Formats: sequence, structure tokens, C-alpha cells
Amino acid sequence: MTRRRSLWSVAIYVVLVAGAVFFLTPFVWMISTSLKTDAQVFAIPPEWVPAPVMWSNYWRLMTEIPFLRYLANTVFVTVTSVAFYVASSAVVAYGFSRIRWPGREVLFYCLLATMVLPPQVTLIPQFVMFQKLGWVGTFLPLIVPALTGSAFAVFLLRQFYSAIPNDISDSARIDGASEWQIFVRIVLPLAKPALATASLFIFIWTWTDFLNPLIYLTDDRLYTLAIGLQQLASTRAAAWPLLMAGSLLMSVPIILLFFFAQKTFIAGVSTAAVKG
Amino acid sequence: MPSTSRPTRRPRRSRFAGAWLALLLLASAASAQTEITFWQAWGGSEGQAMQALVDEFNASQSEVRVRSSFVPIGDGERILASLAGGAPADLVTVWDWMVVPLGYGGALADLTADLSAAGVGQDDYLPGIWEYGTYQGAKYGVPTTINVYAFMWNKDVFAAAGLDPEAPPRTIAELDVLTEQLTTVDPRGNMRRLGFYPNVTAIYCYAFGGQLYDPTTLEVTLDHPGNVAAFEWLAAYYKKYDIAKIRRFQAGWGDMASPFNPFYRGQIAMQEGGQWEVAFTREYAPDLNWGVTTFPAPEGGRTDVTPVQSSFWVIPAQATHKAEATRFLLWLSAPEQSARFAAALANIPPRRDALAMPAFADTITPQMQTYIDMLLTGYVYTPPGLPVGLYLSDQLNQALAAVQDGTVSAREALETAQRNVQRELEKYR
Repeated sequence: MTRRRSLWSVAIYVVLVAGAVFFLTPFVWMISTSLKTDAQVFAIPPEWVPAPVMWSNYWRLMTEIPFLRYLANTVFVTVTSVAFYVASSAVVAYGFSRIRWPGREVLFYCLLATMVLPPQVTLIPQFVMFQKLGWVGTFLPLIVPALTGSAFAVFLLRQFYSAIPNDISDSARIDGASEWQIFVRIVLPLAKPALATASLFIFIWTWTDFLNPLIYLTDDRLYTLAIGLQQLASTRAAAWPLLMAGSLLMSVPIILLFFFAQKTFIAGVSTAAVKG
Repeated sequence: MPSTSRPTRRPRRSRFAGAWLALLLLASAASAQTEITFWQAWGGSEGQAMQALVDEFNASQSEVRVRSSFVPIGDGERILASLAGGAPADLVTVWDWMVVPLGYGGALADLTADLSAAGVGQDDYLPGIWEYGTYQGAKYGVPTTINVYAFMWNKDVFAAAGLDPEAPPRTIAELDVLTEQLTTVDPRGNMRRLGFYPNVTAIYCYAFGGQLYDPTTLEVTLDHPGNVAAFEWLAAYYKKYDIAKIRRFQAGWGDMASPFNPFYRGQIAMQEGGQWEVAFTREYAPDLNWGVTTFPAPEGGRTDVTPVQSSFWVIPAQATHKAEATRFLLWLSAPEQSARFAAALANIPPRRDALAMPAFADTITPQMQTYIDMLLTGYVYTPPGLPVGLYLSDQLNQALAAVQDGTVSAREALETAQRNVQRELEKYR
């Protein structure tokens, strides 16, 4: 019995390791390419180990494009957007789940309907609107809309809030807590996993967003990494080692964030999925 | 003491006044300088070549300062949004298919008067290029650099198959025979090598004597008998070599800008290829033994088809500094600059005089010369300069897909495409 069980777990580990290797391959290839010479990138048969190891590719990346400036721009836009989106969505989701008011369900479905609209449909009217406000060419069109919440985050948080028993809020109300106090002191601390999940998703979207910065940032000193890295590619060919070095550096924050927030993230996703 | 102090103070005051005046002069000179914005679409070494030109223009005079930004064209999202929002740059780089629809829609400035005032005309450009980007007499853009297609063949593959490596097909009948001789299939029925791969359908429409539209009357002519004949020939090709097998084979082809390009690896023996292949093969397949020539044509067909593509520089109708943008555009597209930029891109300069400029002439190889000769003497055709140009290309592709799958006849597919495009074009009349 024990032997059969250990054999079973060995089999599971083998499958898991094989899966991990499979999914890691492109990532390892990216690291390897980032350290190769231009010639070695296309060696036949393909070579996994860079020889010589070109650490200088990273230095070239910093000098050929203003990488650190683009990084700072990306960090600014992403951190501000995440903060704005999460703060506003948390409040809106509270209104949609913990307070009863006429028309609540209808408005909630209207909000969900906005998720179905492809961004291309609203692209030009939105641009015209921001143009009239004089915001084109600044970071404002990228961060201010975040103050109006994200339909996805509102949906995710609403599902999570709905799973928190009403008794907790009721007893706080009996103790004299206001709605705002219930939200800040009771519901928000309980919703940490969902807030972390929403933050992570929004972080990834904003960090890798290409279309919005492309449309609204007219001055290349304000570019984010997603557009800035494009400069490493000419019309027909690309400087692959530098592009891979840039892509690797661009992925690092997402990977680190996931490692640190892994537990909360998975808890948030499963709660929203199971209890929704 | 006061009397002694006065003379010493006077010069100081006048020095201040002098400095102040100099500052004022500098400031007024700075304010007289107009800054224009230029969206250029090249990254990497090409982007650096463009920046070098911009820097040179800025250093050459003091009235206009060009501020260039890298704006990838993509599907034109940024350009369309900014044109619609009325906030375009002063000079913008766009794909050729965008020029006439945007210009005809009123979004671009007509450059005809400015170009003719500057003495630039049809004779300054290579044959067929001046009309490119022009619609109903209005010239909406200037081509940046030119891409030309020609017929390429792999001489080593020819030799290995016991064929004369210096004898590419000159007629469609010869092409058919060679395709059959060079195509190999393994015992399991999988394709190992495709003798010939037709990628740009329009080339064969023109080679068979057809045309996609009439450049003089601006009428769509997709159902032209020449096009039908070309489609019938293509249908026979796809039937013979089995489109499903070709698609499976295609899935294993590598990136065009890499040593895994199927032509470089001998997976395709004959195909169309642009002049960039001269630079590409030097980098990715230095040992490749290839030849380039004009396209084969059927008896009585066109033997000198020269397909041309380009990106364009355009000035938006709502640009704030049109005159200054035109001044920079005239400088940028002048033969000297045109030669240097085309050399950096391994493209061909659209200006006739640029061909002889050392910056470009020194880069010409015998293979590149074939492409240039085709441009100088051939029947140049460009993507349809119609408000519905892109839709026309889509319809042509859809017609081809229907023919490939064998669901309809060549004539039916083209007649449907013709009706659809004609209906779309009527909306603009």
C-alpha cells in the first residue's frame, strides 16, 4: 500500500517536473539568448549555452535606448494605476454587494456589459475626449481613468465581499460603526486575498500594456518599456539578444511579485471562483 | 570718491546692458525657431540612420527644429486616433495603403502645389513612382524608400537536381515543369521541398496580362480575363500540390529574417523575394548560391512585371506647422538624403538621381542591379491607390482562399470580389 502510494507520488512528481520543464523552456531560452552574440542566436543546431557570455548586452541595452527612463515611466504609470484601480474598485464593489439600493442589480449588469465592449470601439471617442481635455501627450489618460474603477476588479471583489457573512457587519452596526467604518475596518482586511489578486492582474495588464501608451504618449521621453523596447527592432530584423535582455528585465518585477504574493494570489483566485 | 566710482560703474552697467541685449537676441532667435514633430517608424540601426539625418537637418539651419519620435505604424491605431482627434504630428510615416484613403477622406494635406513650387516633379522619381500615393490629381504623400520584388531561385538546389543552375524559368510552362522536377515528397507523403511557392498573388495577375484596377479610369478590374487566367493557373497548382500538404509544410518554416528562412534552407527552390534579400542573405545565409531575375510570364503575357511597395511620409491636414514640415520633407526626400536612408535600409531610393549618389551606388551588388533595372525598365505596379485599396487586397486574398479550397471556380471567385469592391467603391462617389 505504502509502496503503491510512493510510486504514485513519484509518477505525479515526474509529470509535474516534466510540465515545469516544458513551461520553463521559453524562459530559459530568453535568458540564454539575452547573453548570446548576434551570430550565436541563429546557430544551427541551436545552442543553449551562450559562449562567450555577453553580459555586455545588458549594458548595450541601457545605452542604446534610455532603458532606465522607460523603466521609471512604466513603474510610475503601473503603480499609480494599480493604486487608483484597486482603491476605486474596492469602494464600488462594496456598494454593489453589501448595501441594498434600488436598481443595484441592473447597474451591476450594465457595468459587466462594459467588459464585453472591445477596446477598439471606444478608442477614437476616448482619444477625442482626452484631446479636448488637453491630456494627450501626458500620463493623465493612462492613470486618471483608473479612478473610475475596473469592471473586472469590481466583479472579483464583489464576489469576495458577498461571501463575507452579513452577521459580522450587523454586529458592527449594533456597536455603532458607520458604513465607512465597516468597510475600512472589517470588510477590507478580510478581503486582502481578493485585493491582492485584483492588484496583480491590473499590474500585469498595465505593465505590459502597449496600445494605450502608444496612442496617448506622443513624446518618446514619456514612453513605457512596452513601446520603448520596439526601438530595438528594425522594420525587418530585430536585435534579439538586446530584445531578450529587455524582455527579461521587464518580466522580473512580475515574477518577483508573483513569488511574494503567491499564497494570497491563489487564495484570492480560488475564493472568488468557489464562493462566487 | 564718488567721482572715481562713477567711471568704474559705467562700464559695468554697459557690460550688463550688453549681456542683456545678447540674451534678448538669443531668446528672440530661439523663439523664431519653429519646432516641428516628426513621427518616424524605424527602430534599431534604421532608426539611428534616420536620427542622424534629423540631426544633420537641425544643424544645417536655425529656423526649423525637427523633433523626431519613434512611432511604430502597426495597424495605424495611433495615427488614426490622432488624426481623428485633431492632434497629429507635423510629419507622419504611414503604410502605402493608408495614403489614399486618408488623403481622400480629407485627413492629409495635398502636396501637389508645394512639390511643384520646389521644382520636384515626375521626372525626378523612378518610373511609376510619382503616381504612387496620388489620387484624382492630388498627391498625398512622398514614398520613403522603395521595396521591389523579383523572382529568386536557389542555384545549388537546381544543380543537385541535375538542372542548369543558370537557367531560371522564363515562361509559366517552364516554371510548371521545374516546379514538378524540384518538388520532393517523402515516402510518408510529407512535403520535403516545394519547387515553387507563389506568395504575392497580384504578381501573377499582372504577369498574365491582367490588372487589379485601371490606374487611368480608377475602375476596379478584378474580373479581368488576365486575372481569371492567373487564378486558374494558381488553382491548378494548389490542386496538384495539395493545399493541405503545403499548409502542413509551411507550419515548419522558420522566420524570414533568420537562417531558418525556408528559401535559405532549400525548402523552397523558387519564390518571389524583395531587394532586402541581398542584405538578408549576406547576414543569414552567406553561403547561399542564389540568382534573381524577372518573373516568368505565359505566352503573350507581361514579361516585365515589377511589383513595388513603400511606406510614405505624409503631412496631416491639421498639422500646425505645414510649411516647416514641407521644408523638412523636401530636404529629407532630396536625392542625397534619399540615397543615404535607402542604403541604411537595404531598400531602393525613389529618386532617380539618388541611384548615382555614392552613398547608395557604392552598395549596389549585381543582384541589387537586377532589382534596379526592373524598376527602370519594367512595368511597375503598386498596391491599388484607391480609397478601398485595403479592402480590394482583402477581397483578392479571399478569392484566392476560395480557389485554393476548390469550392468555387476562379471566375466565380473573382466576380464575387469584383462586385464587393465595386459596391464599396460606389460609397465614395
